[in-house]
Amino acid sequence: MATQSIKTQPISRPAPTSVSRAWKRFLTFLFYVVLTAATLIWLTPVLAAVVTSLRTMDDITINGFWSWPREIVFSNFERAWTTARVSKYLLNSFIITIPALIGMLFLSSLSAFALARYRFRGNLFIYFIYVAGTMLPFQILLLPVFRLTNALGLYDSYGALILIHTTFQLGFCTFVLRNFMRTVPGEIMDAARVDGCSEFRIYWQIMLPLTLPALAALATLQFTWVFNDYLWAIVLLRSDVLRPVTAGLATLRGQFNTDWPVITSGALLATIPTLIVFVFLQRYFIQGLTLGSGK
Amino acid sequence: MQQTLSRRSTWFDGWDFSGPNVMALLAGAVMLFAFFFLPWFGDNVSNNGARIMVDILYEAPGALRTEALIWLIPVVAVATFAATLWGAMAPEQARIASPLASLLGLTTLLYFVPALGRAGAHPLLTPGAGFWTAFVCAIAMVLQFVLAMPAVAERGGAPRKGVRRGRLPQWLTPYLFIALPLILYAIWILGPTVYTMYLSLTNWDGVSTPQFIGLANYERLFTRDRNFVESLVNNLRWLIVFILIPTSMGLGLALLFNNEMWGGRFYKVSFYAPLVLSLPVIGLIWAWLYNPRLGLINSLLSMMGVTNLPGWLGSRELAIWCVIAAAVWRQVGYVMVLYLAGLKNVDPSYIDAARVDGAGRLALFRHVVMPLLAPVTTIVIVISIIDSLRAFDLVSIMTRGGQGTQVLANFMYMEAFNNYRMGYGAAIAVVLFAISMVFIAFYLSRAIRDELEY
Repeated sequence: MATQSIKTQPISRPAPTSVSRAWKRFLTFLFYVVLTAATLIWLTPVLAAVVTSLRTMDDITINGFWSWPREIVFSNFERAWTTARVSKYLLNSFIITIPALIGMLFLSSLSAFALARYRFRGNLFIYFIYVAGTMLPFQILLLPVFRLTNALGLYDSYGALILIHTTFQLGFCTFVLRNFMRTVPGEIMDAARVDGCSEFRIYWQIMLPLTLPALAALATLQFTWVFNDYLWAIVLLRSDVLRPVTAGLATLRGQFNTDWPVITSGALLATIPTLIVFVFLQRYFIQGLTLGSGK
Repeated sequence: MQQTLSRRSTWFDGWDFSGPNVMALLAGAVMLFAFFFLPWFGDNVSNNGARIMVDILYEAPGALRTEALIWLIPVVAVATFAATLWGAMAPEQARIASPLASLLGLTTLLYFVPALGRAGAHPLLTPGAGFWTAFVCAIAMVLQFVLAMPAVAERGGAPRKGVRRGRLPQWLTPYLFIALPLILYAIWILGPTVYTMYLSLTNWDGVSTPQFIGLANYERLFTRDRNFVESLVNNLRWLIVFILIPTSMGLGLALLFNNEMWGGRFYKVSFYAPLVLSLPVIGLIWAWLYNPRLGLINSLLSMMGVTNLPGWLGSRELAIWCVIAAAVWRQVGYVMVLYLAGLKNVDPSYIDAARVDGAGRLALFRHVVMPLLAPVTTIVIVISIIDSLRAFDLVSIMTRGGQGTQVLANFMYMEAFNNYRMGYGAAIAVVLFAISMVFIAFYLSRAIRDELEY
């Protein structure tokens, strides 16, 4: 009740006394202390991984996790990078992710353009198929896709992963791009058409440049999604040399069973590419996350 | 007037600029495709360029030895793509993009020249379809520059005569745009969904031909399989926790960070940072925290004098909650971001109006902010449900489905790929699909309603 009466007259509020000002400052201070503590607790898993990766397993075993590190070592990163082959796994991840990204963005922009800009039979139906497809559980596709890649001779190759990522993400990309393209005013296209612009050129030289913000956001988001995929990598690949870093980490754990510093270093190294994307393209990443839910 | 109009509307006119661009793009795309999907030597698809490159890179035993320069192919293909796209986005750059692409094509030929020489010498290394396709593409990249020149020169010149007015019928255009993506989507996503339903009625083991056995898989699943019940219960726990905790925490954090505050950005980023980590990474890190002897949690507890240390992932009662906690840790940031975006769209005048009317904080939240955020809440809940049904990576990494942590997705994977009961796995997948479908249908019905209003 008291707060309400204050809230109703924000302008004519009496000047705060020095006591209440001090109290308020204390409360603000307390708030920041609590918030900082909560943030640190929230980040504990990451911090613990960083600390672990800089120590030796012997140090942790003998002195315990909470002891002050006897020495800071970087050999764990070196071992993860070379012996555990995280470098190669990372390269594989890029080889898979980049073509998949190009493929899905190009193909989905094509279908999004058609769905957003033309009236035709089955327009809405196709759109809803794409929307429904974004939410499918992967398991429903696992076996037939496994069989299909075998039949095509693509099992255990990059191609298998590139194809499934491209096609599976088509749904989400089309959904986002279609809704984005609908916001582009139609007059621009009509003007171009009057000037004799071909339909493909309208798509290529008018629509795509205008869609660039959405494409950038999608690319950033999809990069992390495809890069972080684990399930398809273990289903469609057998050879260790082809594994992306997510599946490689699982191997790493088997290989360095109890050597946690090496495992955490590997995990941290595996995060670097997505971390770079996150730090430098954060705006696009957030946009991408919210694009899908904007509708 | 009529003359200029008809000249302008010729089909080829639109391509004057993008003609070479499209050619270079196509060459790049086909080259990339050939590299990944076509046999480089002989006719066995497993000898594709990508595979050969990896074998050379990793010095795999028994690798086909060709020029190590093979890495040029994907790099050039992607670079051509980038250069051409750049040229197309800003048409005035096309003049630079086109020679760049051709230069790249020329570089690739460097690979083919020695490879061709060696290939002939070795009987095993007969160039295959992929090799030739990429070769032709490399030449096309060089050629497009030559082709582009007269086209560019001609633009200012006299109107071309006798050019076909090759406009396609209007109704065909959207179908042309949508054909390729839709065909791929049908083959890789829609077809498999239906095919899994068929497989669930068979006893396929992954090797022999699937035999139709009716509903036997489902009968066993629903009546005799305790793992199935366990998975179902765990998925349900996951789902309930996912709806309750990340949603409320995410909303709370979003409301907190929506205000301007000192260092707000730092706090915000800290809370959604886990979102960038891949699930296997999260699984490994948390498994280390939960380590019964040396992990962070138990060493802290023992320092505080607790003697009866819990086994966390090793204990049947706790394990599933431990896995869910790791999942929640990642999800909170996601929900927070969605709510923050939603709050940004809330018109502050609503809130001011409510304030003027004397609404307290709680009333403001309940009667103004929440209703305005209702669409976001729906999305958040749908996403939470779908994500909880998809839960796989964490369980697979942290416990491999042991210690009572089995979930449907991992159960299906293990039955199909570890026990080779693929038909049975398909039945589990169909059950999972049916559960998801309830929520997908709910979401779709809303989407359709919105769409019809639009």
